Amino acid sequence: MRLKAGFQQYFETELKVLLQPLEDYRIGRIRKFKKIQYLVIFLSPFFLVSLILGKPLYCAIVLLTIIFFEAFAFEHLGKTNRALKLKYKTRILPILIGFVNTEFKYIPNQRISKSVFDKSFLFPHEVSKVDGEDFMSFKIGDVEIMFCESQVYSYGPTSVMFEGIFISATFNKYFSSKTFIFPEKTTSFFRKLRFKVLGSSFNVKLEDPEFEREFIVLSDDQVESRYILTTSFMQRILDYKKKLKVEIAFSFIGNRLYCTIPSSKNLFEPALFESFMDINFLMQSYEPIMLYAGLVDDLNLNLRIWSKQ
Amino acid sequence: MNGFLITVLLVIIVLYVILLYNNIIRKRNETDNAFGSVDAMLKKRYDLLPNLIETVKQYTIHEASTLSDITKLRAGLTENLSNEARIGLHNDISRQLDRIMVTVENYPDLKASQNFLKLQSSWNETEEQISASRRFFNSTVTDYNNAIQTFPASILADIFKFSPMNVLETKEQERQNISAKDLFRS
Repeated sequence: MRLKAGFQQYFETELKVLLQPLEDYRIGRIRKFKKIQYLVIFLSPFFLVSLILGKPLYCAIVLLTIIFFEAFAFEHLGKTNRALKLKYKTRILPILIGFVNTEFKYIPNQRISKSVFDKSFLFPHEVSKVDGEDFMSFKIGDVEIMFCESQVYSYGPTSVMFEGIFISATFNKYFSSKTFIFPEKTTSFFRKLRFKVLGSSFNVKLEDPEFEREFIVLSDDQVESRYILTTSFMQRILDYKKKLKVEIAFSFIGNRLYCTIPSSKNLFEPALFESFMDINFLMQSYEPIMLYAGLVDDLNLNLRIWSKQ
Repeated sequence: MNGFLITVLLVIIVLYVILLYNNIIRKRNETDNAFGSVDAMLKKRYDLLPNLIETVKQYTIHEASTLSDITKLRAGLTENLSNEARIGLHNDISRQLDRIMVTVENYPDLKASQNFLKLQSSWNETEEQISASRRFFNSTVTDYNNAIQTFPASILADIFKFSPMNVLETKEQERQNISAKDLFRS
């Protein structure tokens, strides 16, 4: 993975040239939108005057004209947004992602398959539907990692179970058990109760008091869960959580690691009223990619000193 | 009426005592089970040793005495030993082998051997599995000790002679900082 330090230079030398046509397009379209708004502002006094003078016909004509212009303006804005989104996701984001890691795959309108969500067993109820976009996958050393933005639905009235980033990565150890790490703070009382009812044999008590305060660990194999969760790995998970500043959950199933990172923000999107030429705007896409793909380095998943090579 | 109340109270007390007793027994069985997993992992390492010793022997000149010590220690494991003595012997083997693993740097041919690399990975894996099972055993021992040393179960533990167990600790020698000078001494 490339370091953040080189991003400024990459932005200046490579990205700015590609961003300029998009910025020109954005400015042109915004200018048109503003012109319509000025026209509406110009028409508003006519509406007020006809209202004061009690001329309902003029009043209606001016009002209808204003509504027509406003509808046109917002339709124009919507079209611009869609076009910019398409251009940003097909022309800029692949280059930005390529800077993070050269071995990557990015499909803007795609998500991770629902069957992978099912396999993770990270959600409190059965998954009925998954919506998502911005599928990214990387090969970082020996690790294959993929993630996407997602909304996970269950059957029933309170259907949205999860909104945020879903990650799946290959793990550096072989294991045949299922181990889960749920955040202590956001796990509901009833879910905790269900864990208790499951029996003490599923609850894993670990030595790290901070980890115990932050997470609930469940596994169908007490020894293998500790084989996965070494003391240094627990510390790395805690550090990763602190870096993200949200309540994350993990599962380790079938030699893979799954992780959910809640987020209500729609990431990797262009902003109509923000300049493309400002590095801070691109940082809003670059930093999350670094954070999520960075899980590989943060959890040291490329450490290959065991049988799994 | 009083007689009835006393009977109810006695039944409750007896049920509570049964509950406490069963809880202690359950926790003691859990420690036995956890020790079984430590033993299984140690057996795995035991089985790995002959191959590892043979491979290292082919490439090294100065480690003969250490390898011979390991072979002797391994042979000692076949004797009928107490759990503590067996763990002690395994710890000694582990220490000697750690020393060998560090001296690998002195033998480029050994370091490049595919067979050795494979064995080394298996060794690391087994070591980590042993550590995991040891941690599990220690957590069950802590649970058991807490169960017999806290009131009112402690009274029951005294009556039925449940004694506290020792956790598997790292030997003092292993806790000391490793001296590079010692490790590379041939």
